[in-house]
Amino acid sequence: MTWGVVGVVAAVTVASRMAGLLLPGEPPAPVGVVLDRLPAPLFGALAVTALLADGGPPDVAVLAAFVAALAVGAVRRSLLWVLLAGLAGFGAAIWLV
Amino acid sequence: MTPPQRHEDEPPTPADREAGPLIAAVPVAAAIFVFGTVYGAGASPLADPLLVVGSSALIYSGAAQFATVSLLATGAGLGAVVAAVATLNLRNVALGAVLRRRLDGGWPRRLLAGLVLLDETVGLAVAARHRPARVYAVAGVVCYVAWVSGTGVGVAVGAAAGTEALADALFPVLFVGLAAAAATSRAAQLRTVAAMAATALVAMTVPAATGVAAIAVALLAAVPGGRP
Repeated sequence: MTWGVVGVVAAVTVASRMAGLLLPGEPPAPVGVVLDRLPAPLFGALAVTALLADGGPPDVAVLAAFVAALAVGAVRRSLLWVLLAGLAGFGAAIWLV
Repeated sequence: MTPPQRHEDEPPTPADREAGPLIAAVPVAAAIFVFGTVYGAGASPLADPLLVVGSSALIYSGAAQFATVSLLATGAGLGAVVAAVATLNLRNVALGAVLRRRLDGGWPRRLLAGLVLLDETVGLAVAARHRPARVYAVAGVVCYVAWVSGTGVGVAVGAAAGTEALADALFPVLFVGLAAAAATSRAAQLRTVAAMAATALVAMTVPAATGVAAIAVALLAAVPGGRP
């Protein structure tokens, strides 16, 4: 890794961040509806992507954390509670397996 | 400007309370700190300490930085790194467009906001019913400090035993939490479950396409029709 590589990766990343934020004008109404609805499905899809990042079945402890987080996330809209549930699931799996 | 949907009948989230923005950001920042130590420890063999910490300060993106380090470690060139990072960053375009509807002010303010755009900071802003811009700004600063300091700790003392496994678990859990916080209705929860199932199907059949598929699937799940 060099400063040049870091600079290029930073430029690509910052450009992607600015692209959506600096779009001119307001989006048409249907696009606005999609944007309002997008975060939850996007984060859900990214959760699965992160879970299956290695291409194979996830580690038992990682899966336990995921399932515990899902169980709590289904009933509580709290990021803190979901994180705690995930940690509890992870710890329980480490302890049991 | 069409304001984003508000759900005033729901109980307040932590971010809605007076000291809420900071309280809401702290657990996320703690998770980000753990990722930072793992990144700092993992990237140390590939570069000098100042460059590793500098990469976190300048890029501020775990996904992009982990991908860069992984690819460089396998001997990939700059083109491959840029292609991978650009693909991973596609979701930033969508998240930026989502965030734009929640920020007041002109382009200078949005330009500044873009510097701390992460899945986590946007997720916290989306989950906040009130003052999303303040929640976003506080989360952006707190998470930035956590990421850079976590990297520094990882470089200086390495990652504690078991930290990498914990980080592997925290990544998907954090996204589940962001999805739960952003799903403000039963219909939104159903769309989220559908997107997760479709992404899992793609991940198991065409693993290489999972990153792009996650965004495409989420967009499909969010298309107009039915209840909000």
